[in-house]
Amino acid sequence: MLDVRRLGRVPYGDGLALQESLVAERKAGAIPDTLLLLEHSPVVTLGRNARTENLLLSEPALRARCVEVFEAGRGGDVTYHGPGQVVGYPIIEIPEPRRDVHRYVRDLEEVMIRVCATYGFVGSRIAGKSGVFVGDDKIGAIGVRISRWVTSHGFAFNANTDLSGFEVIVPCGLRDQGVTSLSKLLAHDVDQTEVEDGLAANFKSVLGFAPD
Amino acid sequence: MTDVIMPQMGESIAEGTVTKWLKKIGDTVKRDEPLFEISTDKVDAEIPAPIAGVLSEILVQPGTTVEVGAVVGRIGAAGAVVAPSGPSPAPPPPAPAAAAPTPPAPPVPSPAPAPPAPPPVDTFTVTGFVPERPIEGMTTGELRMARSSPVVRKIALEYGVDINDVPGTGLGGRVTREDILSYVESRKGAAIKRDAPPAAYVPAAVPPAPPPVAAADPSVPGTYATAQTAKFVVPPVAPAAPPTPRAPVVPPPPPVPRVPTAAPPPVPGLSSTTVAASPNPQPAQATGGIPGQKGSRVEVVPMSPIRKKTADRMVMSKRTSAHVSTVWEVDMTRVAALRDKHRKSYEERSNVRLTYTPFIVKAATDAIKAFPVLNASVDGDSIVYRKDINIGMAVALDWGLIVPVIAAADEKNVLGLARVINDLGDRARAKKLKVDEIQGGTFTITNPGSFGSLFGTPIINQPQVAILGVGTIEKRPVVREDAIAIRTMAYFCLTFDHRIIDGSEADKFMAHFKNGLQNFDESAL
Repeated sequence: MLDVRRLGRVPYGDGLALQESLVAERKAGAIPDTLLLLEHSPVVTLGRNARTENLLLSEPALRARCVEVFEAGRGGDVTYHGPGQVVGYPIIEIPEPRRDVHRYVRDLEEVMIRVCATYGFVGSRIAGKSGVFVGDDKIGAIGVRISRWVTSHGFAFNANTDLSGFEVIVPCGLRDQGVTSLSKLLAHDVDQTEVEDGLAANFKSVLGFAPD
Repeated sequence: MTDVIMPQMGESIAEGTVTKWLKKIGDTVKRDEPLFEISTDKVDAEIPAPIAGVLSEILVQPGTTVEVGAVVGRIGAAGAVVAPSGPSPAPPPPAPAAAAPTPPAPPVPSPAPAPPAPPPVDTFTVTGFVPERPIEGMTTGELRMARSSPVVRKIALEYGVDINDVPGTGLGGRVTREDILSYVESRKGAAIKRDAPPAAYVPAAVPPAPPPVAAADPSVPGTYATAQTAKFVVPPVAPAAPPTPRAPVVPPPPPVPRVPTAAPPPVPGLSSTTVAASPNPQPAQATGGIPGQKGSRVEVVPMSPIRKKTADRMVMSKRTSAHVSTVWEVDMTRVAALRDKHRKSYEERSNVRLTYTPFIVKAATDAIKAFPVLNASVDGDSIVYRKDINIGMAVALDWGLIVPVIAAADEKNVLGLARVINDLGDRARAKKLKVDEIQGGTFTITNPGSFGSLFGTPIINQPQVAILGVGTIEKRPVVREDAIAIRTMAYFCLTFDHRIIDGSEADKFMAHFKNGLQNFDESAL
């Protein structure tokens, strides 16, 4: 079973701390597989492979704009999180037969592709890049950490994200691609709870959890 | 000083009406900030400022209709406020000397913020549009030149007509092509002797002067009968007689490729001479000439700008592309079943009407991805492959045809396509389309089937290279596994530009398209 927790808006640092403790509890078998759904206050995070040239403003300049900067212990390059973006942190233990990091990433992409479809858009993968794209623009980002097959970090899906937040970075180090959101594609805001519902339901079906 | 022009709003739109200025003279505008609103037959739109600066002139007042490309205002450099300071609180400068038969230029809106000081002549750009105010320092002649398009000036030149002598009836007093031609017509009585007009305007061989009857003196080349003469010759009542030329009144003009004006069947009693003698087949046609001349009961209605534009574009397309059409029959039974199955949930879940169109657009888009040349265009000796797949969707409305564009069709599934198609169709009918929604198409789908046609052979929408016509979708008896079955069938006709698309490619595209429909992927719904 999967425990879905909706946390509302969470500062990035608090989210990190929560993940750490949940990962420890999951490893200890103290909690079931869990999916955290939340949104962050504006923050720029640097993955392990982050190159600073993908940060277009200095850290002090970012802080002056009320954008936090974090080095996150996940894969990937630079990314931005902010209000309107649904962030999903699955804290699950990947079962034996599925223990393939790439497969896990493809599964997370599949979840977001299916959510795009319910809004009328064809989400796609671009070879050699993680994440989900509509046309050339990225709508969903992925950065995961797996420790002894327990996952943390996860995906960020642009529902109503104010995309100007991305202007301070080169998202995921991809200079060619832009970013997009459901609200941009549809020219109106979407119900964020509905997007969370879609992400949770598709996460369950793609990752092999029993539906509600 | 930057001109603000009436933008091209769509392929078949020739003019627009300024409905509202959103800025006043002297206001600072940012680049791309909405500057004024326009309304055309097809779309209403806010037009952004082309550049940052200060709105210094408003040349077209709300309610006025001007042609595409017309200068409607000007934006000056920031800080250079023109209106209040200039030496021009004076009333509009006097009309140029003896602007005698000044065309019916709309009255200068007098209470309007004093028309700014007329720009020095050298800054006046001759664009074929007339600012609706007198222009100081230009003679009537110059003004006339300014008030006619290069094409018109060329025609005037060809006929040896001084453009100054021609009363203009066009927009703001412009001398139009028709004006020149009817002027020429009216001058015929004076038997102006002219060198034969250039070949382009002459029927390849002026028939060795068809039997002279009326005034025209065949001995004088290029002598024209007058309109009056013509009138006399016309029988008072000539109800469209069958085109049976009895006596060889007019020997069929032998090697004339293009029949001169006399094209309408010679009516007994009407000497065709009077008309046929015209060296120029166009005037009577273009202007409607004098109906009586044709000797039959007619009503001559000038084409609307849209009609003209459409006519031009259709002929231009036929002239540009090597049109070839191929027709395929597709079994739509599966699509019909999928549509029935999902129609309700589409309506309930998303409030979207599910028609056949999104299925067809989806299958066409997938086939385009497999054969990208169908989405290309021709630029000189190059083929331009367009990476965006923007499907134009011809919508017939009672006031004309419009082709709103489904942008990035390949990024949408059936739901997304259905939603956009519904929305564009609704807003096309309400004339609420935005400018960019009727531009940028890379491939067009048209639906003569909605009127019952089995299939049409559409004309390519330039600069595209292919157009898909959808025939009527209906149940037909077909052979399946040696039995006659009732299936939902439709013909699809692809017209493609053989310059860059070979028949094999076009048919492979159609095979892909057909397969996409017959085995429609339900997960795309």
